Amino acid sequence: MNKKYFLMGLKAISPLCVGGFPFSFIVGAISISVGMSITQSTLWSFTVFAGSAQMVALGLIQSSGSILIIMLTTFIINLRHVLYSASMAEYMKDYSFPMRALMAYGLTDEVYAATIDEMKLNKKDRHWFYLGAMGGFWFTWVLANFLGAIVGSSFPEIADYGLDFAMVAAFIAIVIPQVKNRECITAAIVATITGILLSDLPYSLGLVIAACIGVFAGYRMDLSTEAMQKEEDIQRIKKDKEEENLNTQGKELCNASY
Amino acid sequence: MHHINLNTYMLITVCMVIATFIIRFSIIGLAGRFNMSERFKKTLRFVPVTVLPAIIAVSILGAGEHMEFNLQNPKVLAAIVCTLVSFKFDLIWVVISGIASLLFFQYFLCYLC
Repeated sequence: MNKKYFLMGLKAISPLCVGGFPFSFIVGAISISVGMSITQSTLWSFTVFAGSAQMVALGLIQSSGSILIIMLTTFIINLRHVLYSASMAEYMKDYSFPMRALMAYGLTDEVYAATIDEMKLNKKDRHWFYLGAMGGFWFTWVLANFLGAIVGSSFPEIADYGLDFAMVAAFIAIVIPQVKNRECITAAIVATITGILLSDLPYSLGLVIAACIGVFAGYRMDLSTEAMQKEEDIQRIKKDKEEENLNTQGKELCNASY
Repeated sequence: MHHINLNTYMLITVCMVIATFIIRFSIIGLAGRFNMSERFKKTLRFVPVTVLPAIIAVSILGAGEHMEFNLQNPKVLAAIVCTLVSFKFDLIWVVISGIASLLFFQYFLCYLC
């Protein structure tokens, strides 16, 4: 075990744990109100480990939604994780099947956001960084749910204290430094506007569609930037050749006049 | 308070675990069996910069008819503070300033009303 990397992972995820804590706390509180016991609620968070899907599932349980709908909804809400999975696959491909399964199990929004940059560096023991971040968030998630289940049901107005905003603030801090060129800016703006326009769609489908359209916009921008660069390169080569020709002609004229 | 049936609880949990895991493991599980094109890998860098802003926007503004896109929404003001702070400071300071400014704007706007 690489303790240094594990602790680095824990450190990287810690601000996001602050953001995740109140969310899981609220999930814990609501789960009690739909009829789960404290043990059931805690085990549920430990095994499912998917915030928004859990929140929506609680709503469905409350309104007596069928198991099939709950499963389908979980699937749709978590669809965005396919993109995370694709993004991480390249850096996890050399690990064993059980290790990949374990790492995939904890691939939440927060774990992805906190670890992707480090995973890209392709260092030897990077999985310890990932496991540190994942373990830290998992532990916080379950602990917060447990505490929420104990006291949360009698403290429903927690959202008024701004704690639920912590996650949004953490996401802002992660995104801003990444949006640094025109391709990323375009992708982010397109996804944001689409997300707002489609926010009415059920099961967080708007987020999935917004992300796909945003990624497509970024891809088109990449193509246009590459085409522009190619065009510039061709122009430069042409210019260089013309200058070379002029120089040769000049030299020839000079030689001829002598 | 009613209690959830144990079988129902088990079924919901197992279904949700499977649905979540299948998605997260989908492409990681296949990794190594196929090579992703350079273009695909390059395009994937847009994933975080599209998913996260969309989540942020909906969390701040609300969804559908409950959307509140104006400066009377304390979350909009707090998000502006977070963005400005994030140009200079680390994540933890952005979170702290975000919560503090949200509480401030909530109080301030209430006071104005």
